[in-house]
Amino acid sequence: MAVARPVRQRRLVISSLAYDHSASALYAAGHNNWYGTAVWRSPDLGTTWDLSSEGIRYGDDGPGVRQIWHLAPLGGRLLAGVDPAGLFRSDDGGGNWVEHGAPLRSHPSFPEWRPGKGGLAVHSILPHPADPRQLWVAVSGGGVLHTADGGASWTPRNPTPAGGHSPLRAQKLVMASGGPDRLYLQHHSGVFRSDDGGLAWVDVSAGLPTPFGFTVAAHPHDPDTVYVIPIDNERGTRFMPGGQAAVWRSRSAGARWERLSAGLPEQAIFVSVLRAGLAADCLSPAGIYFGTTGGQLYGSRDEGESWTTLAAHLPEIYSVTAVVITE
Amino acid sequence: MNQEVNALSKRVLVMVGTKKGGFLFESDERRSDWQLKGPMLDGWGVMDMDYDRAGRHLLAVGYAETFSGPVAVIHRSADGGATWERCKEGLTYGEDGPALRRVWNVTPAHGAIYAGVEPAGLFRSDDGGLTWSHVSGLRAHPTCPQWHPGNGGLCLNSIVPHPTDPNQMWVGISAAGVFYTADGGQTWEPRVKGIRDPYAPNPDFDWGTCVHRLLAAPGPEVRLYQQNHFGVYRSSNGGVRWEEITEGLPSEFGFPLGVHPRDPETLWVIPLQGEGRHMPAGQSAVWRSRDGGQSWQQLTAGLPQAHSYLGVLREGMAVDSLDQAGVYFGTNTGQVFASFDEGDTWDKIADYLPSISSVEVAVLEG
Repeated sequence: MAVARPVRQRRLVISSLAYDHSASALYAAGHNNWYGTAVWRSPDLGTTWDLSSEGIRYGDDGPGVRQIWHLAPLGGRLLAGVDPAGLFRSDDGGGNWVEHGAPLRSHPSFPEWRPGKGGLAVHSILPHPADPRQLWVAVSGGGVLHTADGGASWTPRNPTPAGGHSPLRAQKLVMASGGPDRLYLQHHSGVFRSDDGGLAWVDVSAGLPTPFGFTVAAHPHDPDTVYVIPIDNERGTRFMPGGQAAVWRSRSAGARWERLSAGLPEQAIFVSVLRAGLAADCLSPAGIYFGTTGGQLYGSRDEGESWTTLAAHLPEIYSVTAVVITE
Repeated sequence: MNQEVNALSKRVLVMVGTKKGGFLFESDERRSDWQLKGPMLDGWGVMDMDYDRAGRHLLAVGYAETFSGPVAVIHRSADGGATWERCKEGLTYGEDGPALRRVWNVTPAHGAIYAGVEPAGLFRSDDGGLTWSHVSGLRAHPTCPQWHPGNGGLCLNSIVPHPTDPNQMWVGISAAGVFYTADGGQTWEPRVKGIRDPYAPNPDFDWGTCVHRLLAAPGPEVRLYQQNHFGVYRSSNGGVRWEEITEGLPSEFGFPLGVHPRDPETLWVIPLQGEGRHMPAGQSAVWRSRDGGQSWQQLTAGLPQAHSYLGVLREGMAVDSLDQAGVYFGTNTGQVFASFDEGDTWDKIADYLPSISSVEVAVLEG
């Protein structure tokens, strides 16, 4: 344990967890007033942790890094998406970090980016399954960007929401199984699907109780199956619609949606699910998991047909990650 | 029969303030069947609620979330929460003063209503909360320019009126300490002797410390209790001198505090593990003392005992005035637990609320 005792105790927020199969290592990103923004590494699934992050900062002239929103293992490397918008890379298991490719904040479209309530967060990192030079990221208030040259240059790939709403308000981006062409995007103004890596998007929100939400998850094997958790945004309160807990699933790439709530609370609930709060494992049938701002963790072992409460009294949940580890 | 009807003519009103509005739970005196109303004022952060018996208003204080940060807000309702009126007039430090970010506490006392705000200061209303005036004597204290915030901000979080004398009052400020006035708020003096602060630059400090919650026990002889960042304390002389009563608790850190409505020796605390701000060891517990803090008893019956990491904020506990005092606490993950036998056993009376900032309870006649 290489963690020094803080001078003053500060609440440590863990914002993202990732498991790197190639290194058999579990990573946790967190922040508080004492550590700042940091990454820890555990070789034994969380029994012991080593603080292991140098370099996740913009230098003396840049802004402070407030939070790591997404840790993503990538072929022995580790990527971290941060707020304010940036992408960092570690080639040594999280010990040392450098900004990956051309800084996102120097992108020509950057002056148009607008931070939302969650800041200007790189919350989604999607590696190409075969080509290590290609990568998609999504930034709250900055939209979807793609690189084909290892991050040297970035091209916006945003939908055009109806009603003249900003295309940049991407909430969460995922890649369908068998990618990289099919992407699903939960956007401030709807759920969108792309079949060509984000060049063209189609709004698939019809049939959902509200187009707004924070999170989306792709099925591990079926590219037509996708999960979202719609959230009301009418009065700024952001509860599940009607105070009723439900996950919505499409088996038809967004053409039709069905409401899944068996086993979820039937009473009124006033909790939300954040961007990284929904996850699928890679088993068959797929396990689906989500965690709430009220600290409840739910799981389904039948692709969402029925749900069980896995934990009821955790702190506010920022992220849920599911991995299958072969012993 | 008549007696029973009379006994059940009381209503118990539990007021829950959350990051996303306020909720009301109402029951008759049996406290077994709770009717939920809410969310009300959704979209507003509610830091504290109370019931003003004199004006028969519900009061809800807190903040509005704006892109330039939180803005202090007070609302009142004359119809049990169906409609709310925003009360802005006078709620300001003036054009030259700092902007008010949040209202942390509202406390009716002696016909007036007091509000504690961030950055730390005290406001008073003499018309049932409609208009407000700054009790400027507190921020006129010579230490004020040096007041520094605790982790939650520089907030006046506790207002403790004297039981009979409207001119006397104590307030708790995080992290400027306890202040006392005997002249209706014109002048104030710090009362922190005996409080530990391992990080104080000067060990002989006579103001400061991070007071999380300050309450007065019932009775003619004023006894104060305080949950501090560093320990729990008792004072029998109005805060002139504090005695530490932390021994026997699993953590010196905590936020909320509850005092018995009639027995000055009985109080409840919820020790929290400091770094995670949750109850220790994954087990939920309230701790009670029946002897003024000399010894403590862990109360867990009915509370989750496995993998529970509940946190409770400083306004998150309340005690009602019924014969078997009811004790209530709300978590920052939206659960409300209650005990109707002074803490021996607990029930979850609400779940799935937004993050709870405050719990207050009022017993209403008729």
